Amino acid sequence: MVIKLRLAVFVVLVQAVLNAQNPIAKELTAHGFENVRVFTHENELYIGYENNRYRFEGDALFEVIKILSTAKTSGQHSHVLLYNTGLPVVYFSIPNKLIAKIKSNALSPSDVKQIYASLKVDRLERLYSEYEVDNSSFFKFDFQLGFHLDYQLGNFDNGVKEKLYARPNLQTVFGHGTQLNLSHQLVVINDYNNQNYSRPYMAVLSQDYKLPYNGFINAAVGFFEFNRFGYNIRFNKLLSEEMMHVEFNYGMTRYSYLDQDIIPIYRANQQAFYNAAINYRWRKHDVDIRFNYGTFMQNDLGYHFSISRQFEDKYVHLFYKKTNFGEVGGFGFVVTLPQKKYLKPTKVRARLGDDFRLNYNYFGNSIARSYNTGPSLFSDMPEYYPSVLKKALSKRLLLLNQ
Amino acid sequence: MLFFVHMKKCLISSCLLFCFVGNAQSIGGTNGQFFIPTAEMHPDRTLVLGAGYIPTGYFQRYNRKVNPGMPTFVTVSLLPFVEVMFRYTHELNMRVNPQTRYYPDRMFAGRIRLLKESKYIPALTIGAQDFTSFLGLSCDTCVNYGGTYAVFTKSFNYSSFIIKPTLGYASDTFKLYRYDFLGAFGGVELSHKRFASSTVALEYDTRNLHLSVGLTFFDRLVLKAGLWGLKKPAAMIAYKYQIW
Repeated sequence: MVIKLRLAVFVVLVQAVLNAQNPIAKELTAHGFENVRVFTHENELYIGYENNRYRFEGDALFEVIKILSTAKTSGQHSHVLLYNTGLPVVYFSIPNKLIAKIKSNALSPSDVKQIYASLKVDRLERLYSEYEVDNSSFFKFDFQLGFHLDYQLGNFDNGVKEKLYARPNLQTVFGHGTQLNLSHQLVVINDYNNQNYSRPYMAVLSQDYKLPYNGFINAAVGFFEFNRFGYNIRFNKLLSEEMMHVEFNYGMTRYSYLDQDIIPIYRANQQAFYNAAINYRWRKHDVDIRFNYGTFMQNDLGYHFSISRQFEDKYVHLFYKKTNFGEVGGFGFVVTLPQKKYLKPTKVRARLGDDFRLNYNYFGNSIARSYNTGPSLFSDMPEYYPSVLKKALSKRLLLLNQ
Repeated sequence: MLFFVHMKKCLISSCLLFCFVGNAQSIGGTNGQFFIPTAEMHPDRTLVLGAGYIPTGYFQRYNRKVNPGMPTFVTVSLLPFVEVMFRYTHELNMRVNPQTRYYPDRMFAGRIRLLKESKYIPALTIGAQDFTSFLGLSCDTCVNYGGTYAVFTKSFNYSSFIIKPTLGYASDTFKLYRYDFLGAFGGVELSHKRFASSTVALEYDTRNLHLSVGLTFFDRLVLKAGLWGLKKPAAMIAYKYQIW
């Protein structure tokens, strides 16, 4: 038994050493990619990586393909598996003929169509998990600086009232899908109200599980957005790759927040929050049509309908919400902050936040609101969708070969 | 040597870009000539931010025609054939305060291209603007710049010139209180192939005739200037950006 155990440890160590010595693994690690795995199986090359270097996954994948094109490949295809918080997300199979064409600057749009991508990664993950990772993404601390704007238009005494917050956030991943997010809120500009104090904004510990057949569970506990304290569980299931997904959400929270002296302020009554959503994605144009029904944050019952268009890592959406509290409609956008590439992930790193979000209510008041429980694997998924990444890769590869 | 090859590539790509550049951006915010909408669409994923100037006597807000106006808009091509626009229209020389009770007027516009221009077929687009009263989302009398229309646009090459006539009809389908367009409208835009980023246009907007010139710089910055009603100067500046 002891000999068997020693042998297993020895094999794992040898694999780790071989992995680290692989020139592609070295190159990927040197670029700042994490959870790197490079190995050969049945004479074909397999690469696994997690990107925390580039803001958009398409830019990261493009860099990996460029690295791959400089390496010696064998067999018919090369395989790439992308990870997020240590969990497998999307798989790419790239014909080696195409890689040769990238090398010789002879790529055509029809060649790019031969790239196969899928969110079905269960079988592959079993193969990848036999190999040790290089440059683990766990126990690294990211200090992110984001911004948020509250505003009010239409008052005759002050036509545009605004309150700008800086929101520094500490994010760390402890293990596969386990992450901690702590964020603080500092008032930068305020002619909106008389609350000028800074205080903790969110403190959330969350766990993502990737279930077989593209099921996702996110469980979060802590102080959420909009002064809610409690727990929240969300289940998502992708159907037909990213074409359709369903969501079931349940939360039990109470009004609570940490004040400027980090003392919890709370009200005793708890409130259950549950809703379900169905989302159809028109993959040709990366358009999501979503219908969400259930109870919302103010205990209002109703629905939320939205149409959104994704432009790689930016989004524009139109929405309409109706509950027993009234109705509201408008539009919103999510744009990235101007930093496409971050510093290499180290034990401690500083960077800008992921994005800036703003909604505009054309009519009605703020109803059908839901609180944010921090980042999760499924909320990151749109940037991993095969249709989005294939378009992004195609655009970049063709530009490279012009 | 490599530098010169690169420069040549850049120059050729820039020239190609300019060949396909249009000034198709109206003062009102949607794709169009100087003021009238056309059936053309911006390329997919285009975001436009801009502002216009409409002279006194022609700018109208709640039947007042005492000040010039400034529409400020953001327009997005949500899909290759769908465009949405949101605009705040400012009446210049007016202060926002409790005495005037003035606040800029806001509106939505949406357009759908039903037919794409081909060799023999013109582009056909239907559109509506400032129509939220029809949906019951604003009061009937709050409408200032209404319009529901169908419009055709077709490009023709003649010698070294590109001639782009537009013909449309704006109806009273939504029974809106005030209209920017009601009845037949149309215009012609002219450009030279060598200077495709510059255009001259003459148009009739159901009330007035406008003559204008347009210029696009680096496929991004659109400037237009013209004579509103062939009498008073009007202008527009817009920045176009293709979102990725």
